[in-house]
Amino acid sequence: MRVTNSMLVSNFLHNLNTNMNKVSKLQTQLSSGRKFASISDDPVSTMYSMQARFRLDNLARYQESVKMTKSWLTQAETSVFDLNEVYKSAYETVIDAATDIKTPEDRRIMAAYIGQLRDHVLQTLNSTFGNKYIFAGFNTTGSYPGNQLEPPYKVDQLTGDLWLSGLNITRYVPNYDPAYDLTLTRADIGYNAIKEKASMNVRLLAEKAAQKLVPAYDPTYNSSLLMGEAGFDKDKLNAYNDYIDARDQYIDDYNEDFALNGAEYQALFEKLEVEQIEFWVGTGTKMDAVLSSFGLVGTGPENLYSMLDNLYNDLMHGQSVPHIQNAYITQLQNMQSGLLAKSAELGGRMNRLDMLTNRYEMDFINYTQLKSDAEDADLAELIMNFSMAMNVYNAALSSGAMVIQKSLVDFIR
Amino acid sequence: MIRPTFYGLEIAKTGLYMSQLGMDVTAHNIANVDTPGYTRQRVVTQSIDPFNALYRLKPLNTYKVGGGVELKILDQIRDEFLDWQFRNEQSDYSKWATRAQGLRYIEPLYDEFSGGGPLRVAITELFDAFSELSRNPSDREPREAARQAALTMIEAFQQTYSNLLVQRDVQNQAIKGTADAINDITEQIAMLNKTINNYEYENPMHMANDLRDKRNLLLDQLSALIDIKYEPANGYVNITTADGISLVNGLHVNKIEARLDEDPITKDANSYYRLFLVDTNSALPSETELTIKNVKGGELAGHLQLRDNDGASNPGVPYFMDRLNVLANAIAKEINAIHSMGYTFPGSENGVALDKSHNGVAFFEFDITKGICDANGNINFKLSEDILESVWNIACSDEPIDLDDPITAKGGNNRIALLLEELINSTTLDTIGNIFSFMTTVTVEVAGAIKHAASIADSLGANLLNIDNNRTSISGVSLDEEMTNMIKYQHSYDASARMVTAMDEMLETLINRMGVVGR
Repeated sequence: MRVTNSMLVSNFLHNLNTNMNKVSKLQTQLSSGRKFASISDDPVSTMYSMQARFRLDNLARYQESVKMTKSWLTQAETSVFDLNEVYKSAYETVIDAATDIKTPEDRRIMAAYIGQLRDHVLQTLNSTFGNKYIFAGFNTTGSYPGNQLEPPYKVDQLTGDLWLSGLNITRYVPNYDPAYDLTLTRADIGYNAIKEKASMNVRLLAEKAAQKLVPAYDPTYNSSLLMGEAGFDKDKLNAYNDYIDARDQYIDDYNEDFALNGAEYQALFEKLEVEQIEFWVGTGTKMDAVLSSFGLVGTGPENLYSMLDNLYNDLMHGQSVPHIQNAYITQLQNMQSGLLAKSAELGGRMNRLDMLTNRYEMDFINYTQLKSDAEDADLAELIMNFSMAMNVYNAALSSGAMVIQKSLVDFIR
Repeated sequence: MIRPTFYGLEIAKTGLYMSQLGMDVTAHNIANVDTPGYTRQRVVTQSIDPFNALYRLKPLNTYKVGGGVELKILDQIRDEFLDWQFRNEQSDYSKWATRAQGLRYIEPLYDEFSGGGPLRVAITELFDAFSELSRNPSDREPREAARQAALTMIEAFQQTYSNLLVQRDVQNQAIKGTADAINDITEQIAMLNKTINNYEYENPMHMANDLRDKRNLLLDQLSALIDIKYEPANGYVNITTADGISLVNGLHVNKIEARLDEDPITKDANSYYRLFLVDTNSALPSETELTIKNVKGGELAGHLQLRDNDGASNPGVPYFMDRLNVLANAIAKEINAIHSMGYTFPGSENGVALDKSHNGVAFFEFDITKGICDANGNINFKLSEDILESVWNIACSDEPIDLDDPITAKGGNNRIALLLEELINSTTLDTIGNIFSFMTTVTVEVAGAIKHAASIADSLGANLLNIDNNRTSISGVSLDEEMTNMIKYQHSYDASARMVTAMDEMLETLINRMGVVGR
């Protein structure tokens, strides 16, 4: 083949350029530490790298989720622990009270203690994580009738019933006869009226009377006095009648507001029972971050709160020892075992979360390894290749310099 | 019969002339050693026959000598087949090189490893925000964060899409520029056709070597712009497109007209160049539109493909625009479908209470037929009015919320937020399947298309260099060879001059020294 000057030059340039490209590519890899400078250098590694990055992002989200779920459950665990303490104390007090040695005065002191426990139960049921109630299903915010915050668990001042999100826990019995009438009657209030607490409620009415909401009522007034008899006071009779009217009005309002029959109550109960606040803790895996409230306090007249309330009243009003023994010891034992079951469930979830945390840590290492394999350059190999490419480049330069500068011209005189 | 007296001088003179001519041609070759497209020329000589008339009457035993040397032809050394091969290869090469280069401009939009490609991160952050929302559905901050993440994602979409629009417009302008360059070259070729034809008609023994070099160079350049067929005829070269539509016919040029029209993809009026090859030579003027279907090679094919091809094989910019639209559409559609099942939160905005909790609220607004945005910056992919009005309109709950009613105060209901979050792992999204496998596929498609085009261009480039080497091996000037020729002609000139001197001395002898006996 005939070799011409422009051939030499263009070949030389082409090869030089190819070498320079190689050097430049290696140099980019060296300085960036990455295997490819742009995605088109290595579409396959790009794919692996994107998959690894996607998994790492997913993982980060689940790790965060697991962390948050754990915080929620830790809060619930604390509360369950609190309730357990309440059970224990209540149980000890009942055992203590269920002897004839105790005087009515002792019992009243015990009642005061039980009263404290009862109030602590309400407070625990309304415990929050951040600004969210954690034992009330979806009702984490509480409600705001008239812009007044009402926590999910509240106690009706007149009847002493425990309510959760519109469900009267005290009066509700699960799977009860749907025809069961849940309306409030005078007797419900009358029953309480003989108790210490009821007189407190009557005092509440008196307070309202002071605000002109209901007339004042004097509980010492005997309404059976006939007109004209000694001690008859027209004003007091009027006030008493007004109180009766106000009470009836209250009952009417109450029944109107919560005019639910047994079936509706059952539906509401079932709905509340499945209101679990769940978070994704893995692909396709959700976990409940709260506890079903009914499992904690129970339902019906024998729920923890109402039971303590009754115990309080019974102790206050000197109920007999056998009554207290019969009514409360077994109940407390049963409920405590229920609580222990909840506690075990919580522990189980915490364990699962711990396992997930560990697994995600392992996954993180794995995916980071995958990402590194796809993206990161092997420095030792690179440096070898780089110096080889440099050698070739240098050789090309010096040979080119030798070939190109000489021609026959240099040898003709 | 005697020999003419000055015959020998005449012979020596032809030798002198020819050596001079050879010297000139050598000088011309050396002077053009670096001229692009220059073909080395050579002097082809032939010996002059003895006079024919004398030859016929020659007596016996009389030797007849030829009359010296004369020029047979001054031609150039060129291999037409290599030219053809080179131009063929060049059309292919420049198509793929153009593709690779054009695609490299859009590569950074997908290359998150080099700091580009904002899309994947933005989408991930939206779903992170949904995750946070599922944990705090009743708080304002995570709602703000979710709305912000959605806005950022839309921005990333819009940024990527408008960059694609810009790159497409670059191709559109390049198409016009290429058409102009083709017209320019064909016109020059037609002019050279005329000059070469005239020159060679007037000088039948002379080729218009340097003009032919110019024309060949133009043909080389033309083949880089568009795939052509050509054939020489009577000193002309006639050029047609690969489909056989005439570009240059002798002295006549058919020009490619670039006319502005409505863009078939973005529907913008007067923004899209359509190319028409107008044949004005025949009796019935006809015009043919040049599209990706009938232009298969050259830069023009590359630009047309990049601007117009919306298919997945050898994709152009419209394909990636379409992928982006499909992705945005799937995200908008699937999120809307779930979101509109959910109920808003009865919050208040600037102290004014919002509507009570209701469902049927869309999250995004997007009409896929309009595209994510247009060249004028009008964005068609956006948040719905409701979401823009208030973050409380983001629906996380699957049942109505009424904070005044303890039964329906379901502020903690996060079922819709959970469904939204889980969309990221869904594999049954509209058209795309899974968001990230779709994005990975598109990114790999971009990377693959570039790598494919670049590696084809590389190998064609090496081929082209090889062919060009073969060509220069034949046609290129070798300085060593020219130096050798220079010495050759120098010596032959010297020798012919010496012949003249010798002849002169012989004549001296004949004229001045003969017949002087006894003088």
